[in-house]
Amino acid sequence: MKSRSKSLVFVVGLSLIIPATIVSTTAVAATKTTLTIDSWRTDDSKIWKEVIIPIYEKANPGVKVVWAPSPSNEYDSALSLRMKSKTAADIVMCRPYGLTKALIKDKHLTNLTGLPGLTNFTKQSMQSWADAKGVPFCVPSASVGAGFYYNKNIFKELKLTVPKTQAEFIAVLEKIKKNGKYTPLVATGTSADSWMLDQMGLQLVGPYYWKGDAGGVALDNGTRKVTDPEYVAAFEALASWKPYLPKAFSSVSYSDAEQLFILGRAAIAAEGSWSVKEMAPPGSNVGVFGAPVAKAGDKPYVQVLADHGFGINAASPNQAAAKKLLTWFTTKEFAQVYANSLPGFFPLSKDKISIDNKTAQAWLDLRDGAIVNAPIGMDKMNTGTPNWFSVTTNLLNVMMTTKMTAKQAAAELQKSLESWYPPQKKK
Amino acid sequence: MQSKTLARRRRRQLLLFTSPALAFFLLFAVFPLLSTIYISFYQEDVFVGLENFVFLFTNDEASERLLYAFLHNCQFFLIAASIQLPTALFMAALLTSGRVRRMTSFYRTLLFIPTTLSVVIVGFIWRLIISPLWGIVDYPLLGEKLTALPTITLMSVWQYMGIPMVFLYSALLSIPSNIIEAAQVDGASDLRIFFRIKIPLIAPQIGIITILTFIWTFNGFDIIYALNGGMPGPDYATDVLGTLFYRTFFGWGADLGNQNLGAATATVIFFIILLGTAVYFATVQRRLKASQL
Repeated sequence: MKSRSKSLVFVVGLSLIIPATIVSTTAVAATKTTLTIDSWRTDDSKIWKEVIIPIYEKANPGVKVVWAPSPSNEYDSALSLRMKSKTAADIVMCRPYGLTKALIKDKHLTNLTGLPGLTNFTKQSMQSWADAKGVPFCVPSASVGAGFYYNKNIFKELKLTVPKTQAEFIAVLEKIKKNGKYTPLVATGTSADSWMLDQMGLQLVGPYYWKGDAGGVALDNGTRKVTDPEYVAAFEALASWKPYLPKAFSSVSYSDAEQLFILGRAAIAAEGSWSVKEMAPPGSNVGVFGAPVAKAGDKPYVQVLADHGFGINAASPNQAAAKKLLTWFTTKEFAQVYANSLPGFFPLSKDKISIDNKTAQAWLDLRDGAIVNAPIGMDKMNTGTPNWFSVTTNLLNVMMTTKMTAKQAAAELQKSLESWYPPQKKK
Repeated sequence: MQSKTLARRRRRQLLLFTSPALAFFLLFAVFPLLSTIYISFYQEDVFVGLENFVFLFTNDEASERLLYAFLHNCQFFLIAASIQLPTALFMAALLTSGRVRRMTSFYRTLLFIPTTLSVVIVGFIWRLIISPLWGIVDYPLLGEKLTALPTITLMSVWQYMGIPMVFLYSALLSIPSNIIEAAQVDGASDLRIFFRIKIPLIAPQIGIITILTFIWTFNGFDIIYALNGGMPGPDYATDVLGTLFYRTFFGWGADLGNQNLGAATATVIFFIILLGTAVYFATVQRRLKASQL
C-alpha cells in the first residue's frame, strides 16, 4: 500500500513536470529576446506602448520590448534595491546625478564607451550620467525647462504685456490682484509637492542673482555660502511671489495649481515644459515666458534640466540587444518621434528636430540667445545626509507658507550644509 | 501511569494542533522580526554593533526626527483613543439599547462601511472635502503645522470607528439579559444600568481596544503616506515612526534608503510598542477582569 502510494506520487509528479518542461523549452525556442525598461514616467506608458516600441519592434522582429514603469516617488529606492538583488530591468531610466552616480559607483550600470551614436551628444549633456572621469553610462534622452505659462485671454482682458524684468513681473501681478477677478500666480504649497518650489521657483529665478552655473560651482567648492547676498537675493525673488499666490496656499497641491490655471481662474502658472499637454491643450490660448531678468538689459538665463537618459543594467543577460536598443535611442528618428510624442521633453542630441506642438516650440524658443544653465546643488551637495534637495525643498515650502523670511531660509540651508558637506564645513 | 500516558498524548495532540499556526507565526512574524534586529547591527554587510542605534539617538538631524516622530505618534494615539473609544462605545450602546427600534443592522453596516474602504480613497475624499479650493472648509487644515496631524488623525478615526464599535457591540450583546432585567426590577435607571452594570462587564474589551489602538497608531503609516508621501509635511509636522522608518529604509525622492539604518529604526519602534504594551498589561489590563457572573 505504502509503496504504491509512493509510486503514484512519483507518476503524478512526473506527469506535472514533463509537460511543463516541454512547454517551457518550446516557449524559449519560440520567444524573442525580451527587453524590459524600467522608468518613473508612468504617465508616458501609452506613448511607449503604442508609438515608440512598435516602431522598434517592427524594425527588429527578434526583440520584444516591455515597458514596466514604477511610481516616480518610489523609483529611486526601488531601483537601487532591485539593482542590489539583481532583479532590475534590462534597461533603466537614469535620473540626472544622484541616483545614477550611486549606481555607477556600485558598478550596476554597463559602461557605454564606444556605443555608436554617442558622438551625437555634447559633452555637457552627457555630464549628468557620467562618472568622475567622464565615462558615459547612460544615453541622454530628454531635457526639460522651467518657466511660466500665462493665459493670453486674461492678459488681453486686463491689457497686460508679458513681463521682462522682475519689476515688471511684480507690476503685472499687482495689476491682476487689484482687478480681483483672477488669482495672479499659481505655484505649489503642499509639502508633498514642494520639489516644485525648487525646480520651478528658486532654480528658475535664482540664476540672475548667483550668475548661473558659476554660482553652483562656488557653493560646491565652498568659496561662497548660501547666506551670501547673491543667494539670499534669489530666495527673496521667490519670496516676492507670496502676496500673489492662491488663498490657503499651504493646501494647494501640484494638481490643484494646474487645475486653477487650466480652468482659467489663474493668470500665470510657474511650471515646467513637461506639462505642455495639460496646461496648453489644443484650442487653449496659452503662452510661455521665461524667468524675468533682475534688471532691464540683463541677458536672460534659461534653465535646461537634464531630465532622463537610459542605461543598461550590468547584470542583464541581454547586453547586446540592450546596446542595440540604446543605439536606436541616439538616432534622429527616435529623437523626432520622442519630441513629438511627448511635447515639452526636448532631445539632447545635436540633430535639428522639428516640433509640431506650438507651445512646446515656444519653450524651446526661450533658449534662443539665452545663457543656458543647470540647477545648482544637485550634484555634489546631494550626496550626503541631509541632502541639498530634501532640505531646500522643505525650507522653500516653509518659507512660502509661513512667515519665514528669505534670510532665515538661507541661513537654515547653510547650517544644514555645514553639518556635513566638507567644503562648506566651518574651518 | 495511566494519567501519565494520557498527559503525554494530550501534549502531543496539543503540539499537533498548534503546529500549523505556530509554523506560520514563526515563519512570518518571529523570523522577520529577528532578522530585522540582526541586520540592524550591520552596515553594508560589516558588523558595527550598536553604531546604527548610536547614530539614531545622537546625530542631530536623526535624533530630532526620531523624537518628533515619537511625539507625533503619541499625539496620534491620544487623539484617536480619546475620540474613537467614547464615540464607538456610544454608538454600540445606542445600537444595543433598544432605543433604535428599526434598522439596527442597517446602521451597524453603515457605520462599518468606511473601515472597508481603501485608505487611499479615504484620504482622497477627505482631502477634497476639506480643500479650501474645491471643498467646504476655508482654512488649509492639512497645510498648517498645528492642524495637519489632528486632521489626519480624525480622518483615520472616522475610517476605523467601525472596528471598536463592532467589538463593543458584540460585547454588549453577550451580556445576559437576566442581569439587566434583575436590575430593572430593582428599579435602576437605564443610565445607571449602563454605567454600573454594562460598563464593568465589558471593561476587558475596552482595555483591549485601547491597547489595539495604541498598536495601530504606533504602527500607523498608510493614511499619512497616502496623503503626504514619505516626507510628510508641512515641515515634517505629520511625520510618524512609520513614515520615518519608510524614509530611512526605502528612501524618498533624492534620499536613498539605508536598509541597516532602517532596520535599526524598525527595532526601536518595535521596542517602543513592546514596552508600551507590556506596561499596559502589567498595570491596567490585569485589574480589568470581567466581573464574575
